Amino acid sequence: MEWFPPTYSTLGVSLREKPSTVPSSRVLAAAEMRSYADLFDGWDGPGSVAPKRELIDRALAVLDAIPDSVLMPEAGASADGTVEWSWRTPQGAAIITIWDSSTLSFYAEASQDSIKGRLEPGDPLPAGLVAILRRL
Amino acid sequence: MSLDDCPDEAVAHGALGVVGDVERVARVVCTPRHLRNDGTLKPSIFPPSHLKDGRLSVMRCDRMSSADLSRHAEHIAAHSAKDQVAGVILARVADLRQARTAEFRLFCVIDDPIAATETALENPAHALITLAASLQDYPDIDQIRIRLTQLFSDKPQPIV
Repeated sequence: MEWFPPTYSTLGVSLREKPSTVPSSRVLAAAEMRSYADLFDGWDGPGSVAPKRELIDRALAVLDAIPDSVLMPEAGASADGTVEWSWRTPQGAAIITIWDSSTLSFYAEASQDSIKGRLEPGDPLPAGLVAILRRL
Repeated sequence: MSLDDCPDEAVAHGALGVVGDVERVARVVCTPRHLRNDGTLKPSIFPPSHLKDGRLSVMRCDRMSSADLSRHAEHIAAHSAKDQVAGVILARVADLRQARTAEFRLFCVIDDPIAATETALENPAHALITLAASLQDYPDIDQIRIRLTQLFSDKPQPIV
């Protein structure tokens, strides 16, 4: 008899239950950002600096502020100790950089539109930024 | 192409001379952490403060042997047994020099040979990408990093 892999329906799991069994992209993005706490100085070549825990926490707070209606970003860490959220799709690209505990900046572009600026800790994401992120 | 914004481009600092428009430059991707889930580049490969300070390091890959490129890449990436060098990304110097905002030229590509030290290998083919215009504000650097991901090859190439 030919074997077919089990599916959610053959296992008696409704589609409503499926999301709870698969980590969401938000959870995966947060996990990637948290993993940067394990980096060490020199992780990205000579002179590279590990991100500080407070920057990772700031980045996670930014992730929490991103609405569910927006494609979740991918986490990034740079050799200078900064961390970021970034998007790249055929429609455009965007980045939010956490430079230090008090300096965040962003740039987003889609089609002919773009927006850039700075954020203070605790600021909501600007409506213009969210509008572009929704188009990515 | 005007050198007005990039006077250092006309200055040779080593035996290879000024960086030519027809050359390509390579940046080593030390770790797969700089790659997105689909294998394309994250902006994280271009550290914002390195751009702000004018010290984004690249190699003139057309002016060095594959063996030398590999040797330097391995030296740069010899930091952790956990991560393996993901390869190099390439950009045409002419494309970098032609990149502009509506008002400004963005990048200079400057000859910057490295002399041997206790920690660095001698590299006559080292170069720097610096900012041509006074685009030093943080959001401008974000825009520049996005632009660099578009100017460099999408995915790293293995070093042969």
